[in-house]
Amino acid sequence: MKKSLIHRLVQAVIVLIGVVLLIFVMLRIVPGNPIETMMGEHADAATVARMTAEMGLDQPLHIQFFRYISSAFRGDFGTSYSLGKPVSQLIGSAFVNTLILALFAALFAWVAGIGCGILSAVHKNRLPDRLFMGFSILGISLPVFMAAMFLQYIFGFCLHWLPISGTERWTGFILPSIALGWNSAGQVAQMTRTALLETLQEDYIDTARAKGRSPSGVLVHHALRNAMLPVLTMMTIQFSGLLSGAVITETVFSINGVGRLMVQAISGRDIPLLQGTALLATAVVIFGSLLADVLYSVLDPRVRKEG
Amino acid sequence: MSNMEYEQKSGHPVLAFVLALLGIIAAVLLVFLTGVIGGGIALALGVAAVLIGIAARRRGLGIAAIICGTLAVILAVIMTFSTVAVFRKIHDEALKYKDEAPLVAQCLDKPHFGFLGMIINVTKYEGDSQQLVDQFNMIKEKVDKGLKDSSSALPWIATAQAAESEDEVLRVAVLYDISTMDVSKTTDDYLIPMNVFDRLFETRPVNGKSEIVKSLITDYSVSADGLTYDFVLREGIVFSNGSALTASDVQYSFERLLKAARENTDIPLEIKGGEAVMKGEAQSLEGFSIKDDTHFSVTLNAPNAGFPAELSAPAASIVDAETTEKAAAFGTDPADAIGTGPYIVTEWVSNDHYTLVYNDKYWGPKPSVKKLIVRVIADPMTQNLMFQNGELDIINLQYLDSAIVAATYKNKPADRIASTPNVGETFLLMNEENPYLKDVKVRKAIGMAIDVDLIIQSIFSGDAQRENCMIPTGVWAHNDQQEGYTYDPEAAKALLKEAGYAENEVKFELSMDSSADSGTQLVYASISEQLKKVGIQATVASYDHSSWLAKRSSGTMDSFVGRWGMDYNDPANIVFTFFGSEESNRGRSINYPDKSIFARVAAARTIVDDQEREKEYQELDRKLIREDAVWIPMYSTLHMWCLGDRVASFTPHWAGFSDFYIADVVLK
Amino acid sequence: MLKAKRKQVEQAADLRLQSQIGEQERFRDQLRRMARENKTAVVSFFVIVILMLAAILAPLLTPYEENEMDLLHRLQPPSAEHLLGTDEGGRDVLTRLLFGARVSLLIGVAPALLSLILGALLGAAAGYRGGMTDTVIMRIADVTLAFPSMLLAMVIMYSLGGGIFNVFLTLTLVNWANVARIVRSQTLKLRSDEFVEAARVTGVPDRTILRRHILPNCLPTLLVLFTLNIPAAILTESSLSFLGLGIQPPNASWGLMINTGRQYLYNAPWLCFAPGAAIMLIVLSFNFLGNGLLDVLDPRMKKQ
Repeated sequence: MKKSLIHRLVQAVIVLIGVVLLIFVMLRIVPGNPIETMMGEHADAATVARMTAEMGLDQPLHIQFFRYISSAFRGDFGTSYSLGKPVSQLIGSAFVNTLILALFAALFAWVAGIGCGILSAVHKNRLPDRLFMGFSILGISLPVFMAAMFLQYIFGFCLHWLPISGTERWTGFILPSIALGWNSAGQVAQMTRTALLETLQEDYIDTARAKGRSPSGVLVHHALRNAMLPVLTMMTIQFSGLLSGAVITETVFSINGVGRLMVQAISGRDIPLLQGTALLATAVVIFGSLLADVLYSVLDPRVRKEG
Repeated sequence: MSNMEYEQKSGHPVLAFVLALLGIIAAVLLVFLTGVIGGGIALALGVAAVLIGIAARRRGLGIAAIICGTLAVILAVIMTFSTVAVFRKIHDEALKYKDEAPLVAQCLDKPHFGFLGMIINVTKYEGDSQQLVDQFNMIKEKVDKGLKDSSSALPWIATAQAAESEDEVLRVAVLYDISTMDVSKTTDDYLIPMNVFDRLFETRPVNGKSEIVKSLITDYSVSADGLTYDFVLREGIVFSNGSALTASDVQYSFERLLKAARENTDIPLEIKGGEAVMKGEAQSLEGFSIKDDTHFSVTLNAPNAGFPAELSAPAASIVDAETTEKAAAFGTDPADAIGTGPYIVTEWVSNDHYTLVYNDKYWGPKPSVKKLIVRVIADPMTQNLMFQNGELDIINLQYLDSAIVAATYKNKPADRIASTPNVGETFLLMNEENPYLKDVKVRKAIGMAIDVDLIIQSIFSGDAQRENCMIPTGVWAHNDQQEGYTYDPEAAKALLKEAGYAENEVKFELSMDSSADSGTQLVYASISEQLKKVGIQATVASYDHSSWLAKRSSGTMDSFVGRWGMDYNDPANIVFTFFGSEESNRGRSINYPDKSIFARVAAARTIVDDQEREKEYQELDRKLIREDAVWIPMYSTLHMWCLGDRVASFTPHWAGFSDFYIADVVLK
Repeated sequence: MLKAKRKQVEQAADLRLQSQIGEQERFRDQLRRMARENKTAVVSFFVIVILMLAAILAPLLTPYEENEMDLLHRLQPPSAEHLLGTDEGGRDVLTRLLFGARVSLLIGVAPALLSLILGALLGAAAGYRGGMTDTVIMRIADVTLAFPSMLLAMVIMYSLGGGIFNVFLTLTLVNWANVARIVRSQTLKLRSDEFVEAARVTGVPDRTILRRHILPNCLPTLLVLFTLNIPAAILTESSLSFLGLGIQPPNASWGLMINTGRQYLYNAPWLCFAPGAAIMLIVLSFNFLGNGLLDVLDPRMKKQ
């Protein structure tokens, strides 16, 4: 168990370094000079050349890479071209918003998803099942931006219930988190339903029933406990997905999060910022799946014994 | 095994029928009671679809039907809900309008089910029903408006918004965050420099016209040869940190721009010795001499009557030498932005918002706005909604499609709209290295094939004006006698034939910057369509901003819709930028073949006599635009703003900048 | 593709292999059974066919041209002349929707096919060869899968620039690793099968074994993966175009139409809702069809 954990950890770090290298190379084969983009209409060739040299962008690629890695280890991820501040500082303040958004979205997705999943499984092929599964398929098929725009239109514009954008008030997080969480809710609901239906067919459920436990008791104490295992690991992976995948939601609702920083970095050819945000998102996903594996092995008695 | 029993019960026709009946009754009630016909029908259809779904034998089909049905029901409920909310409000407030709407008030006297009762009474009314309906609609309109204004039906949000719209606070939104507060590093982000720092002169509105006025100085004089300016600083001015403003701060501010050697070096370069400071050969400006704390003089390389006007540009902001010198990252930390202006920056959260508050050490008159909150909202449509919701006090309409502006804002009273022409021009630029575009006849045919007036009327809803010259309207030396290209597709075809080109033979690319606003993107598409009609294949290709810039500066871009906004009121700003040297000409993909023009354009700047200079610029304009058709001048737009209920008046920047002087906003 | 779905496909494929040849119904018969029993999948199939036909026959179905502008009739609501109204340039929305279907469907199908081929070849090679080949290929696949797919797509689109072929390439690069993983695990199991062992011992060349035994056995799984990859690709493209990183104007794709239409959501909602509904319809259809095929693949379903 410990050994495999260390193994996984080393693997994660290797993958992360691979990712850094990949992003680094990809971002630098792009046509277009970031300095020129930064200076816009007033750039004259001499100034652009001088500033390119000042920022070390005319150095060979491998030297730039080692310079980046070594300063990254010291916590310095460079200065954003388009926003003029240190990348770490920008990401720091944006990450708070993304984190809150992801937490709210996950809360919505898990509560709604697990609830609907259980109801669907218990009432298999009856109204609640069809209703909830319909919604979950809708959630999976509906592009996030459509859901976001729908919600903005109805609750922000028509009904004036909730703010259209902004995060000064906590109410500003409600619509974005529903938009973001809808898709995950659909997945959780389907997974819960499948897992629960499978466990309900196991022999020990019949045994418990035969012993005279109430149907709800069987459901909660026996079936649910076992069915939740795969759902739980999926949820961990999902949360890291939510953290890194809020790009569109943040764009539609104008939330200052990591995703929007990334979009901005892309449109402004802001290499340090893009590198920083991409790195953060990948790290979150890698360690999220690592955590999921650990969680699974802790919770699942079979894996625990094997390890 | 345990689920077998469920599977067999796959359909409840009886239950479905009962529910369907209930649904339809509910729908009918809705239609009759509230008049929401659409909502009622949608509800009925939705319920029916859900029931078909329940009764269906196949699970998948059932799910599909239930999804559609539920969506319809949700829509219906929402549609009716907002209407019901209005009626409830009418019921609550009808007594307020007792005098204006006595008939409606009568219907309130015998309520049996609250607001539903009122509606029943209204529908059953046995008098002059038309009058009642009119009165009812009158209240409805008022309530509708009230609901929109209070912007929320839920109490907690209403209070939250009230807290934000406290007195003397102005809330605006921008599309992009600023990158710096330092004028040496930007030519765009001027809102903070304009309001936090002062300059020796300002361009200010005086009796409805913009004029150059003295700001930090009380007096100045020019020597007879026009080379030396003597300035007297205003006494007793202090920076927001309390230290006094002296002549050395002015010198430091100019030298700093040169030492940074970035975006803004034009103005201090005119001072004698500027070149040397920029190259690092000298530490201080030779042409800048300080007599005492308030008296100093500046000597220029060449006489320039426009020097005071240039000193009013945001680039010539005066900073506190001591603080700026010590600052680790000047332009990034609000604490370092120490100026003598009316505001100080208290907070800057990147990509989110920044806040300016009144500087109580300010020497000038107290402005109406004591606090400005600038929010970064990347989407013009969201800004539009926020303004309508009362979350913004002024909205910049520049980036909204003119059709939306026309539908939403044009019907507002005239004093709610502030507008100023964008001094500048949008034009179609053509690369003379392209095998077809190098032929002047082809370029002129293109000029005749583009229907600029149609573009102005449709895409900009008439809020733009035709430009016929290189030097835009509103700029000194602009020639309003110069003729433009008139739309004449037949003549264009004839000219192409004369040049020896068959139909559809002329091909080139219209390169579009994909970050352009929707109006410009439409202009590209319509130019391509209009050229198609005369047998020219101009295909639109879109590039992201950086690739577009890279392609353009390589000198290989076929053709593009360019836009130039004037930085200061002198024709050199546009003519010299595009035709000042072979390098800059190629850098904008023009590749003008006659190299002698560059020297001529450069020389035009130094002509001392105004009349002669004006003549030379107009002659250059005629040659380049009318004779050689280097580009097709098209239009300049009107920059419009809409003011919210809390704003009394607003005067935008003279050149149509999106940045403005906060002191030009007066709150009610 | 969704992670949960991928696991489901993996499980079903494994179970299918366990209940090998003989007791297994032939795939063709299974499909027939699905056509009989799963009406949703059949309906979805026809919806897809109709949409594809509409896309192919687009010029015949509409009197307007794709980019034909009528600047005097901008943002017109739906009418008899323009069934779905006109857009901000006075172009017919229905026409653009039909032409946009070409791009959107092509973007669904082509990258899914490409990633399928690439993934199947690499996955089979990794599983069959093992050793160094396996390690290298699967490490690369791991790195690709470690990226959030949207982020990966954004970074690739950033370095390649917009345009339809770059979207193809991006979606292929994003999706191949999923396929490779599943095919590899299938190949690993098939390789240890007696049948294949025997063939190897008798000196049948590797290429023949791969072609004759391993890939044909993976085909049903690949078909399911293909069907489920299409909606994922369409959704990713629409998201990319929504952010302005995908298809570039003047080409029309549904995602791009929504992106430009968003500016007019409150004044001309048909600009957004028409392509939005189209995306939902096609994605739902492919999802239903894919789920139907997945049920066929999963031997557990047969008994019910």
